[in-house]
Amino acid sequence: MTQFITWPKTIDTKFRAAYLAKTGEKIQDTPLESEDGLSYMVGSSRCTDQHLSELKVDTEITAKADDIKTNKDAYPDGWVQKVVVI
Amino acid sequence: MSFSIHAHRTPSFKIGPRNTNPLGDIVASCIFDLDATLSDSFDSGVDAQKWKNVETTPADSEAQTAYDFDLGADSGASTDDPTHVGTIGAADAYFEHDGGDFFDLNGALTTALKTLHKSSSNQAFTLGIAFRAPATLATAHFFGTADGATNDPGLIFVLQPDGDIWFRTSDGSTRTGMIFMKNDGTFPLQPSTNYLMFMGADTANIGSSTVIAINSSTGAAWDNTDTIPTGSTDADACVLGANSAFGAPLPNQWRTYGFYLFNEVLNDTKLGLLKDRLTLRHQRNYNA
Repeated sequence: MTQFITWPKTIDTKFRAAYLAKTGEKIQDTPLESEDGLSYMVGSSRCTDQHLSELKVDTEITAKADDIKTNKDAYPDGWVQKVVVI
Repeated sequence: MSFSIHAHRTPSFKIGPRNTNPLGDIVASCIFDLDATLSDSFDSGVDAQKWKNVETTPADSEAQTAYDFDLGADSGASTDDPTHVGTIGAADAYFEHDGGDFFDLNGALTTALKTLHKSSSNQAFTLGIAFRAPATLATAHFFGTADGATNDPGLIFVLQPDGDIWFRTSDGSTRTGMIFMKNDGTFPLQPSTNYLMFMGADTANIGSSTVIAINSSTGAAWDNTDTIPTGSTDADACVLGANSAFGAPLPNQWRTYGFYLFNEVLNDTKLGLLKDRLTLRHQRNYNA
């Protein structure tokens, strides 16, 4: 089942590295962005709740743990593609 | 007094035995045949990161593997990989997209894909796609040898939220080199519905040779056509499920059953053969 994961841009580099280490899955270069431009979002069928809880152990990420959100049920609203679309 | 009741049933569409042969054995112009329901095309036990072409002798004389695609932007596991759902090789298997997933050509761009958009190349083609539309349609570039920028050389097929589809080409020089061919609401796509769609054009004779067939073996011309630019710049990438810069990917809950490419504008006879074969392959009724 696809799980949607959102995280703040302020921990993006750290989050990407930790995510790859825990899940073996790289986060794509162009995730969706929140309309306020402060967060990213991707969907994943590989990332488990266990992965996510392990992710939040990292010190820098832990400080923002409450801002890392997941949604298994629905595609969250308010996310946009930053790549030019015509 | 006795009486009998005769049950009246709605006539059902009977589908024959499954046929998993490559499409090239019935339509020789097949270049690639990528199908989520064929184990020769996708088998996570063999290669979980590649969607393989099952057409052994592509009509453009390229190698079979020249049309293999990576799941996502590269051969590594990534959040941009579509998720294969169902049993490997099963008729009802599919790739599910989450709003950020696509397939990127694994190897170097072939001559056909570089020149698909050019009138000077005399490159006729038909693109086929079997899919289930999601509950909510959104703007999506479902095939791209160009990126989302107006002047990037190549072509893009686009799905609109209202269900319309169109494609545009660009020669890489000016915005006026961009054309639109639009299926103006004559058969807008409906949410949560299965489709088998073929769209083609002869870029050297764009005014007289186009085809669009949606769940039908009878092709129609596109509504609007314009002059294809003659620019000489090649395209530089080919992506299924997004444009060549991975922008505007297919929406969440989109299901891809297969992508197919031919180097001619298919006539009704060939559209009929393909519709019948894919009905058997997928064991699914693609009638409107």
